[in-house]
This record gives sequence, C-alpha cells and structure tokens, in this order.
Amino acid sequence: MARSRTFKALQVAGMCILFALMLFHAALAPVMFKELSGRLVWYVSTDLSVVFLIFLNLAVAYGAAESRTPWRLCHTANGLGVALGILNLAAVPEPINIPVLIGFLALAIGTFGRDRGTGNASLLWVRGDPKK
Amino acid sequence: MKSRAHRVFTWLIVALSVVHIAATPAIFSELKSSLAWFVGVGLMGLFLAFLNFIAARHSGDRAITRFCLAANVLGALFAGGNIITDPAPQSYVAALLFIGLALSAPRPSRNASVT
Repeated sequence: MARSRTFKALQVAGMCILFALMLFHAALAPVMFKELSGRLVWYVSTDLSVVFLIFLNLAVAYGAAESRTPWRLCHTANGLGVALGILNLAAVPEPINIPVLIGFLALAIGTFGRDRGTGNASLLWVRGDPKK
Repeated sequence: MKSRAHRVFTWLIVALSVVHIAATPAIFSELKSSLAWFVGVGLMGLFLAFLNFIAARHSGDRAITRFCLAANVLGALFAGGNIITDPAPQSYVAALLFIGLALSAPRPSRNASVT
C-alpha cells in the first residue's frame, strides 16, 4: 500500500514537473521566435506532446485502470517520452534539460509502479490480456 | 459508421506520425534542438492517437472522452495553425486528419459514468 502511494506520488510529481516546464517552454516562444514559422510549429508541438502525454496518463489512471491495453499504450507513450527527453538532452546538453528528463523518467517509473501495484503488470508483456 | 471513421483517422495519424519520425535522419544531419522539436511533432500525433484508441475502447467513460475531446480540439487548432505558417500540401493533409479525428471521436455523454 505504501509502495503504491510512493509510485502514485512519483507519477504526480513527474506530471507536475513536465507541466511546469512545458509552461516555461511555451512562455519562451515569443522570445525565441519573432515571426510565425515552421520551426515555431515544431517548438509548440513539443509542448502539446507533453500535454497529450499527461492527458493519456490521467485518462488511464482514472478512467481505464482495470483494462490492460490502455496501460500498455500508456507505458509505450511514457517510454517514447523518456526517449524524447534523452534526445533533447543529447541535442542541447544544458542544465535546463536535466529536469525535463527527470520529469519523463518520474512519470514513466511512477506509472509502471502504479500499474504493478494493481497486480496486473507482474509480467507485463508476457502474460495474456485477461481484462480486455 | 462514425466509429469506423474514427478508427481510420486514428490509424492514419499513427502512420503519418511514424513516417514523420522516420524522416528525421533524412532532414537533419546533426543533433540540434530543432531535431528534438521535429521529433516532438511526430510524438504529439502518436500520443493523440493512443488517447483516441483508449477513448474508442472506453467510449462510455466520461473522464476519458473529456480528455480525448480536449486533446482533439488542441490537435485540430495546432493543425490549423500549421496551415497558416506552412501552407504546403502535407499541412493540408495533416489538418484534414486532425479535424476528421476531432469530429469523429466519441463525445462525452451525459449518461456516461464518471470515474
């Protein structure tokens, strides 16, 4: 029970870190781009991808917690989020990108741990899909 | 009919996002910030598609359909903004898919359960 709460706290912390950094990132857009351009669209889409990732985690945790497929999609998305965090840090190795990666990692680990806590994800990719 | 259209639009967005991400090495020769942003566009499409897959499976759940609706509206606005900044044929295709997805997605109903 206590472990489950820890993972839930980690998941929420990951979401809060990512949301705060997303707002900071979005607020910098007018400073970085003086006019509308394709690069501005890419820049904004990174923020939207974080918003959608948070929506996805919230929807699975509070809406579809007893079904396996949504959790699997959620873990895949969180894994891709971690990959984006690593890519971002590799492309721009600056201190500000470390909390971004920490946020993605906290969200991914917290969500996985929370899923494990339900007893469903003991052998996540091996076991069948008993609760479709 | 609407649910089939929704499924088709969702899969087409998955395909578009995968092609977008796969095109990254052809467009960028070195690691830089705009590469991460470019990959972010593809991931945004994938995450939106994942959310729509879940909403299609749990169309009776009001919480999920609300998250899905909010994400689809943001996605459609993004696609519209993309046309303004880059009025290329692929931008129109993307806008068509995102708007089609938003229109065909399951809506939160009054009778649905709230979890």
